[in-house]
Amino acid sequence: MSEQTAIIQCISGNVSEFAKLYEAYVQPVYRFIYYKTHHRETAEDITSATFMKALEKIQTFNPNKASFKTWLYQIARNNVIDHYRSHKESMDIEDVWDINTGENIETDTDTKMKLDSVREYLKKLKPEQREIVVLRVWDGRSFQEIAEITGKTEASCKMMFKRTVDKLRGDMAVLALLIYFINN
Amino acid sequence: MDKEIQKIIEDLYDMDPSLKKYEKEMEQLIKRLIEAKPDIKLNAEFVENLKRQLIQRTKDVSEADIPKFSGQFAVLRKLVYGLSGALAMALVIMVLISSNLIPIKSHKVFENYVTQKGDNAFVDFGNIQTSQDGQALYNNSGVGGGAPASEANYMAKTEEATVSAPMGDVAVRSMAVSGDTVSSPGVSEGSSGSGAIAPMPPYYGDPTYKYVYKGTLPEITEDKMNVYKYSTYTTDDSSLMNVLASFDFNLLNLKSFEGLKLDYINLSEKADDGYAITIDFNGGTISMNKRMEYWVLATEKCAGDAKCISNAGDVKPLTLADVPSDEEIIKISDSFFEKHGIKTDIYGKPVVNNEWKKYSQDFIPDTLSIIYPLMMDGKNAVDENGNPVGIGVNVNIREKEVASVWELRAQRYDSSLYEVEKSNEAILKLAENGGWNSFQYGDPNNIAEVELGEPTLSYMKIYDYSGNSFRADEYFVPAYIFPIVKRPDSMVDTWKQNVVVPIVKGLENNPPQAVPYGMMR
Repeated sequence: MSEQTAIIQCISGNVSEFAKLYEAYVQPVYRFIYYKTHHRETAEDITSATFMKALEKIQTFNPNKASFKTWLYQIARNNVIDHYRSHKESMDIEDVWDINTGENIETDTDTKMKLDSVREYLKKLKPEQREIVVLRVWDGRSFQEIAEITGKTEASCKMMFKRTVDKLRGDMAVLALLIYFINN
Repeated sequence: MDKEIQKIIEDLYDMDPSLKKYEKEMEQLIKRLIEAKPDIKLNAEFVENLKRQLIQRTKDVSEADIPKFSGQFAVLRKLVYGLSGALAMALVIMVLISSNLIPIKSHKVFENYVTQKGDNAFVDFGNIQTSQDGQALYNNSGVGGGAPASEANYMAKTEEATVSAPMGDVAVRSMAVSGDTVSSPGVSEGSSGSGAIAPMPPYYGDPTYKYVYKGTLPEITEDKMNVYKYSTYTTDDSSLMNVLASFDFNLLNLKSFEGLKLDYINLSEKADDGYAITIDFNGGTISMNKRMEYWVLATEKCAGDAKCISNAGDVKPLTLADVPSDEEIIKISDSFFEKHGIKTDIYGKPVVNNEWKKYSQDFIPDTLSIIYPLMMDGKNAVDENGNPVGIGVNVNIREKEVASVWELRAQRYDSSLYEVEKSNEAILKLAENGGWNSFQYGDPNNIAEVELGEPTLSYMKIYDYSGNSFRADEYFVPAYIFPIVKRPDSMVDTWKQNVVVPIVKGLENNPPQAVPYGMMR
């Protein structure tokens, strides 16, 4: 059974097919959430909430407006915001970059140091800039998908990505120097 | 260069070609960013646990979703799942049959409800337009338009003319509909064009009938009674539209149209002798017919060929002995309803229409009709002639199966209290002239008495055509229905079985406009 058929069946009320959609999307959705939380348990909780909500709202999904994957990402994104709104009242709800990083990332020390250094640069970006970079570079989303997920226009996503990369390039010398020291 | 990196960089060049001069730096930057991506390993136990929870939740979701219902009809209130559930289920079955692809859960498409509004919330019934305009009637009837009628005072004028005009003379009588008050004496009948004057036809010996009720009227204790207005129907068709939108129709891009909504769905069973089903989302109705291309009446198979008929045992004309009892006919219909989940709890006891027996017992129709009368506040719902309204069913008595079903309808109304006429004198005066929608064309000097039986307080369906919308507003108003129990031999219009007298203040003086005399005959 194709994914599209499973989606149609779910929209039509036969939600028993939802398990197939879950299997297809649990990995990317979890990854997307993890990129925004950097914490395994938190990412798992929000992934659970995302699929539960998707199951309950599947009959409101409109294939005309977005792909199923984008729709799931929108739910996940809202859940992340809701999570930090309820758990971290004093925190910028879109800026969850400071949450614990690395504990469950199984990498060697050198690589970890390299990654941490790059993340330091990402951390300095505005949350919305960082979100677009992460979605485009780490998650491989198209600008159209990024626009649908973030609720921005495709043109503004492209422009923001270009400006962000330009800014990072300007810091390249510092980054390159840092990487040189790490590798040597 | 890695393809992933290359694509990202090409996108950037498209946005800003000047970045090309930093190609090496750009490549390094994107490469570093990709390398910084966390290496995420999803916990398999978590994945399995969540899957189990979701499967359990799918069962809960499938069993949930109970419809809400608020209303005043005593019977309706008890039947939250009643017709709406049946209709929704019928829809489900239809889609299953037609597609064999999508097992669809019941969505609440056609729900029943009544919403109470404030007093006098609708219209002034003294000013509504209770019949179509002249042009519409002209178009529909094929009869000439004629002189326009006066409106609220039409009845008074007719009475006056009837009493004062001698036979064969010319009287002020409005035969057509709508428009300005008649300003000159004369009668038009069958002559097209508004305001046309034509000589009044002879009476053909018809008397003027006086409808007499000798009993006492049932007492009305309330000063106000509810009037019901059929609620403009809106259907949440988003789920169905989503399903449709997911199909590639090849010939056009359905998604390129904005704000598409479902008006009708036509479905048919695959079997040659299956049913065709029409769902009207705007009207909130479902009807079904045995498919005509395969359903040929037995008597039509031989096209009048006597030899064919005599040779074909199954197409011999029916005789009275072939006609099942009313109970048997109703049983056929009830079985069909039960099979297809059509619930009749909000309707009264079904009645077989045996009017045909009055006209001929030589030709027996292949199909006989049943009405499941709608009940409102425990009272019969009737049309302007006092006949019951509700679900109609045609039963093919030769095949002993349901041939068609119509007016399977979502019952959804707004209700509002209106002052009612409690004067027995006023009610009986209107009844005496034949009721609200009666037009007398007989000789005013020749009076014949028609005896009326004890009236029942019912809800009469009327339409208001005064709005600008395509659909007329539909109301159910309290009315007395007097059955005709004895009529003189001269009374040829035996179709008139009742005298109806609405008791909502204002409406009694605002009858439908007269029907051309020729049509009456």
